[in-house]
Amino acid sequence: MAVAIEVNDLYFYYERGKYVLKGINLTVRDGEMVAIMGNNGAGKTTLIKHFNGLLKPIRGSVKVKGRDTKGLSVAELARTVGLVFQNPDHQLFAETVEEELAFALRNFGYPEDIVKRRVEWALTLMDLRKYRHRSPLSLSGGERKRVAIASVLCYDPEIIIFDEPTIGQDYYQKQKIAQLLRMLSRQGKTVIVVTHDVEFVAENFERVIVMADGKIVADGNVREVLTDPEVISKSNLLPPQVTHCAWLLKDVGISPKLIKVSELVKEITRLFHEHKGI
Amino acid sequence: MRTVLKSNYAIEVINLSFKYEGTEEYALNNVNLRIKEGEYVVITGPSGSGKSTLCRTLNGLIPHFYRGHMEGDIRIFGISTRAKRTHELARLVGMVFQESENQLFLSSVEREIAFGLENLGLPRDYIRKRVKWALRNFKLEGLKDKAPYELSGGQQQKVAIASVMAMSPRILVLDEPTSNLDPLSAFEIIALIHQVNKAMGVTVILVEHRLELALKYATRLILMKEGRVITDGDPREVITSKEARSLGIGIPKVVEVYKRLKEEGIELPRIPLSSEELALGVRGCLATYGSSYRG
Amino acid sequence: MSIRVFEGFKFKPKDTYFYKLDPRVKMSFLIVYSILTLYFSTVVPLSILFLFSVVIVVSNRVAKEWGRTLRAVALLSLVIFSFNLLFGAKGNKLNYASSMTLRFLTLTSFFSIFFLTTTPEELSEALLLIGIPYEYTFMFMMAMRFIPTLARDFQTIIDAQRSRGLELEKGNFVQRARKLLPLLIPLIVLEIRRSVLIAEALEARGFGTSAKRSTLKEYRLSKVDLYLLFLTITFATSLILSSKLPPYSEIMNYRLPELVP
Repeated sequence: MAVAIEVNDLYFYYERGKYVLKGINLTVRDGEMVAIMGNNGAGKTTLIKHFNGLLKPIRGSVKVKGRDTKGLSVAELARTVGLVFQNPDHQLFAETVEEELAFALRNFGYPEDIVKRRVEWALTLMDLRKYRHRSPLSLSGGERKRVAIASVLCYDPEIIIFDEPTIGQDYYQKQKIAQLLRMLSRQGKTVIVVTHDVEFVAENFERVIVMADGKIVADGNVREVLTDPEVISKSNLLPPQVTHCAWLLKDVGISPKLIKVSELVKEITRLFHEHKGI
Repeated sequence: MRTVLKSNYAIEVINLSFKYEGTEEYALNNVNLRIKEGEYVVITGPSGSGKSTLCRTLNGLIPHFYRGHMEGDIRIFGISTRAKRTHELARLVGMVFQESENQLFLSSVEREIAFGLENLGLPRDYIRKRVKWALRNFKLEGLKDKAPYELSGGQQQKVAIASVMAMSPRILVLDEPTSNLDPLSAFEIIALIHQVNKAMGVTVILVEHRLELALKYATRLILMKEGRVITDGDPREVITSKEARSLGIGIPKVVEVYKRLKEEGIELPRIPLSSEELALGVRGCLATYGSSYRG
Repeated sequence: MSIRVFEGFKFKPKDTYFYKLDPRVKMSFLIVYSILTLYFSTVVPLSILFLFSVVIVVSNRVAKEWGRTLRAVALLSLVIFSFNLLFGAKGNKLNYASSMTLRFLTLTSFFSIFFLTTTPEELSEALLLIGIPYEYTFMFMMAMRFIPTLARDFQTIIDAQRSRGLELEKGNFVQRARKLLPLLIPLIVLEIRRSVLIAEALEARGFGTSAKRSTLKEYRLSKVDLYLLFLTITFATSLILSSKLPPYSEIMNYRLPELVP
């Protein structure tokens, strides 16, 4: 399978000597859906800014679809890598939602007929058709978030990165985001999500990368990583609630590697049956 | 309406409806609540259900700061908020907001804690005493000369809470204080709020989405939808109610486990609100499985 | 000119002597030296003043941040120099251009020193102590406090829009001016929203309760304060006197040679 993003021994600092990324190595294949977790200050946002060229490595390299980012501008990389920022208010400015969605496409120089078609598609996808002529600034918080996402999906990048999409969202909104991620993944997009929402990751991802203090402390299967007490404590995260329960009941025979509700229910039921001698 | 000088309740919300100026829809629809002193109330609900609006009626921001049309009344220890501005109520009701950036104004923790007291025009000696108390009580002595931007998100919210508590309010309202925090910091803040409630007897009103962290200390859970109170009562009853299920709120996983175990015929002694409670319940059941396991 | 120009005006905590001065003294220092800088229009006294500011910068270990600001305004200084060289009103254009540029740099330098070593509250309290009403000093303090916040937001907005293909370097003057819209509109809207949130938080913290505010800290002038005040006055006086009395006035009023037309 082709490689979407390849990071080799990446080092980065904002202020000379104070390294924020200390030797990052990772590979994301085409079509993968990965979560990047870690505390605030672990370097997650700094890392993803390297993927669309906003930041360039001080040491090491970052390759997107085989091309080294050092020689590419943000505008060039942005066609391939869409980055949805955490706060939609950092980008909304247009007079209408349509204009907002068209912005990136126009920057990339697409002809108007294609722009119109893609805008229609994005409006429908994110359920924004009834707002098309309204100013994005006048919409509610949740609606603004949808516009921000739509404006990135609009130009159909191969790789889409979400920076903390679940902060401040209610349960229903989180479900919708999860649905969107799954849909994008089904379409063959490479999806990367930066988050510290452990429950969200446990529910929706297969692969997770955990960062702490500028380094990667774990990279692998969600179950293996999130049920590992060492990884959890090193990265200052909290385990999923189900996992924590499993850990607390390890001594009575519950497997400590659980992450789903159904698994815990099954284990406890099994335990009771055993006790009863069935 | 008779004005009650002293009241049994810390907070009384009476037939409250409110719509913001220039809007058609009511943000709050005939809300009625009575909260006693010392309670720890968690309010949750989908976005737009009126939780934040309700918070702002408790300290007078509505109707004095946010204009609109208000019907009904809110009484804090018997005093109507219609008659008192927010800064007058600040000695009774303190409020902590979601973003620490917007509620930390000064360049050192010490000054920040003193700020509210300075605003109230209190004597310097008293201010010094309260600042000392707050620094000690919230374990911020080591950080007292640090600037807010040098602190982590969790520490910033801690300072915000300390700065509000320095004014010794009897009620503390917190509007999604952990939204921007990572899980560990959120956990610590919730524990801190619990301490404020338990050790200082302060009435806590906490608006939260993260119920798996916030519920375990609550004495009461209120569900809101479209400006109305849908359910209000004991957290364990409310979280397992059918309203909770249909509302689309983040029901803690341990509660889901409890419900599914019940379907399997295993009934834990108590609806768990934390992983510790679940583990305890399972152990208890195993020990006496004969009586609680219905095969 | 990048965002870095702000770094020389943002408070950076250190414990060197200038930091410990009473804010009133620091402000008097700033006012006196600013006036002096505007008073002189020849290269010698202005260079002395600039070098003097450098001494203060270095002895207080704020050279790094100060340097960033100076580097950021280097281009602007060049513009000032060229502009005055070509269109300066007075006779000796080279002298005039150099003096104006030096004046700009020196003023920037003194203001940078002041803001690097003074917290917004100290400034506010100093202004209060000299009689300016609290509403104004507070407004000023809040503006200063939120400048770094604004700078951060602006940087994020630039990042977000660049990530959507906005190329700021390309295009002619008109095109580049239009590109400011997707940068300025989010910034303005964001900060307006923020200001409402700040205001409600201030209300909740009792702001506006009492006309007579208390303060945690009291300011009393110390020996160091008086010493520096004395030095300031002495130095300023000697500069002025030496520009008027021969033989020093010869040096002080030295004018650079005229450029060959």
